[in-house]
Amino acid sequence: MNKNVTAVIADDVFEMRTLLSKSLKVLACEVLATANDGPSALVEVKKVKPDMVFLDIDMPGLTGLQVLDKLKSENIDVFKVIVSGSNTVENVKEAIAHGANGFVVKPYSISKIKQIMDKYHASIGS
Amino acid sequence: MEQSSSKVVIITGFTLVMLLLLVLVVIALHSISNNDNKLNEIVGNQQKIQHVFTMRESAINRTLLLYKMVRMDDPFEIDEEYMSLLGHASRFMDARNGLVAAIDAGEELEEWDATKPIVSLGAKSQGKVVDLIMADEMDAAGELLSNESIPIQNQVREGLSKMLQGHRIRVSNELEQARIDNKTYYLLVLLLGIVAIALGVSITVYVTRHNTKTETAIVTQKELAEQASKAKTYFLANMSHEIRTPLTAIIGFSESLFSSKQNHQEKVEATEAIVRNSKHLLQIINDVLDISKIEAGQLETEEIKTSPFEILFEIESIIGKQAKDKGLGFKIDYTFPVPKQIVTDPLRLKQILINLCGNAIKFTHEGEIKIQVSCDRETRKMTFVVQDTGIGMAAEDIDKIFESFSQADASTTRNYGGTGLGLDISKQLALKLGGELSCQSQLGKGSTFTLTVDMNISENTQCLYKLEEVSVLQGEDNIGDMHGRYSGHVLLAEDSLDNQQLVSMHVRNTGAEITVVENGEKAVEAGLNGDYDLILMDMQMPVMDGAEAIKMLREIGYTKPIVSFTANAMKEDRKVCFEAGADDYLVKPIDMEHFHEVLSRYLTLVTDGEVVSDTSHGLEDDPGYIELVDSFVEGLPRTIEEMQEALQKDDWVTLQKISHQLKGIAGSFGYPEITDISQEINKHVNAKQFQSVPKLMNKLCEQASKVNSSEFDNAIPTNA
Repeated sequence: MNKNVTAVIADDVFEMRTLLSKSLKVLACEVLATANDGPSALVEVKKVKPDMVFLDIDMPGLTGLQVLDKLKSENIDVFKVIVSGSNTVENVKEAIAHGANGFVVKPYSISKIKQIMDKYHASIGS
Repeated sequence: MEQSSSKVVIITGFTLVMLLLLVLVVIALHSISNNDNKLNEIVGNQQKIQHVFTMRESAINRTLLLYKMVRMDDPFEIDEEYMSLLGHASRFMDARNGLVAAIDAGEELEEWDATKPIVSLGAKSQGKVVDLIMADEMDAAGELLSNESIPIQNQVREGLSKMLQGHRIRVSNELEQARIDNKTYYLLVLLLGIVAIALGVSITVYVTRHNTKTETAIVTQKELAEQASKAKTYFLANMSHEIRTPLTAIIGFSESLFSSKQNHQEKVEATEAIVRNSKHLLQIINDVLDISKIEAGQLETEEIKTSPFEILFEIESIIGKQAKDKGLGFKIDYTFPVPKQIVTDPLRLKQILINLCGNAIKFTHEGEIKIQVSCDRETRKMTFVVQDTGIGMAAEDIDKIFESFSQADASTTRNYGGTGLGLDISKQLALKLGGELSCQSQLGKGSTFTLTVDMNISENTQCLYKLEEVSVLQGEDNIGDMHGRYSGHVLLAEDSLDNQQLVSMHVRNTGAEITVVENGEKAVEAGLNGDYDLILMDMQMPVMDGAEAIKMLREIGYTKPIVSFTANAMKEDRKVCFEAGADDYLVKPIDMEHFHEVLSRYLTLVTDGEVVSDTSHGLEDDPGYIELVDSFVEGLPRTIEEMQEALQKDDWVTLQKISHQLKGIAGSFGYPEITDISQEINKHVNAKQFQSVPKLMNKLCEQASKVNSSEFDNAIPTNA
């Protein structure tokens, strides 16, 4: 059942996108699209309707948190994960307040991403 | 309630009395005025009678005088009698005028009106007789007198007599009426007076009684309060002593450990004394907490499937040793069958049994302690009879021992110690467990405590029929109970330095790694940053408490095990932990058995000393992941080159960008050193502290060259 999980990745750094998408692939999650800024992330999510979206907190155009707000106001049902280089509780609190379902701190590890995937599976009850 | 109702009674009563008195006064005044009127009327009537009487007498006298005059010859005598006749006329007139003035309309007036014409006729006739006498025509006068005047006068007399009679009757009637009225008033006043007095007396009696009752109640309450206060004062004094005793031992022995003169054996003994006394102190604190919970009605028990044998074996291991140390025997007798499992609160049941057995040992100087276990399938109760051969108690002391803050007598405390709370707690707990606790004792012979608890078993609960079956079970259960060595990384969030050290020591002793942070916020940050196999989270911490930290971690997708530390094991406290998202809980102070049990649940057991480094579920073996690491390692020299070029060109923007990326990537592939240095470079560039960047770049190159020169296999990260 893990096979069917799909995701969109939004990060302005190419290597980050590649790394995350490869990591997700390892965890049997198919990356449908990637975006390098906030507005295109929003477009991709609306277009491909993924199960999950990974949003870098610090992106040009729209920040990850702003994208969260847009997704919320447009009632788009997707499992939202904020990706950030900073692990301060302030950041985490803000992400939760903006409706994030997960928060991953860079550097990535498979284990961290796997936990997010676990939470996603738990949230859909699979 | 009672106060206000008695107030209503008193106010109503007094109001009634006042109203009655008012009515009495009104009646009395009315009676007086009535009597006054009647008296006036009677007096008036008497006067009228007098007038009529005078009129009649005058009329008769005048007739008599005329009769005399008619027969006289001497003119002087006649003149004298004539004067007298005029005098009677004057009296008659006065009386008549007085009567006419006083006469009332109605019957009296009618009577007078009927009499008046004859009276005037009589007077005129008499006048004619007098005229004839004065003219010395005696014969004609005598004839007129006899034939006309006397018959008329007889009518006048009759009329006046009738009037007299009428007035007399009226006076008599008025007198009779006055008498009746007076009697009525008298009876009314008497009756009301009696009622008022009776009411007044009742109220007085009521108020007096009520006051006495209130006073008695106040005195009783005061006495009770004084007694309670005395008991609590005594309890506090005793408590202070009870707490100081183990504390003295703990502090004393702890300080003695600093002494270099102590040999190993002495140090072991001191440590044992510290542990023993600390546990005793904990027991006292738990008792006090329990009793305050009982008093507040907040004592809660749980229903957990439990092996009664396991509980009894535990009792045996604790109490058996204590008994042996004191030279006493200890045994448990079972009356089989006994259910393999019952549903009860095992901790509380153990607490009662330990308390009963502890007392038995305390008060027994020779002989043995025995627990008899039996079950009644009908009532579904399990009975534990704890019997000792100790000092026993007098019958009158038995009830007292179940009261809080008291032992059989105060000297017991001095001789045997103890808080006097244990049996009260045990009794309350027994009730909570659906049973009861009773005691039989004989002074000098020993005591027997009988405890029953509800087994909450069903018809098909499996029973055991001999102790051997139990031993097999016990063997099964004890497998895996040894303290093993574990591998894994534990994050401890705890603000107390002492507890940090203690828990770190225990965790390190198992072979696992530990990282310590001092509050919930740091725990969240650390949890996000690193890969921990287990987070131990204290619940009470400054900045951010444990529950909030656990909640936050769970909210953002942290799914790994979190075990919370809580100050006590009550249902409520545990509920808080579990609701926040903890997987398990540990109670402070740490019970080593439980601590290891919990660690064994979440860390990997190392059986033969080998270190297991695999903590991320074998994902590193995944070809996709290996490929990913491979590409990173391959690309690393190029990345470093780009950074060096940027540094030479003072292109800080590029350097900042690459260092930011590298910081994110390197750690993800298991090169935390590269991430650390990249982060440093990034930080310095951002802060425009460029002078230190070249040095950091050198460090980075050094680390990067290590990566490239090492075998690929070694580069598989451990995520540690």
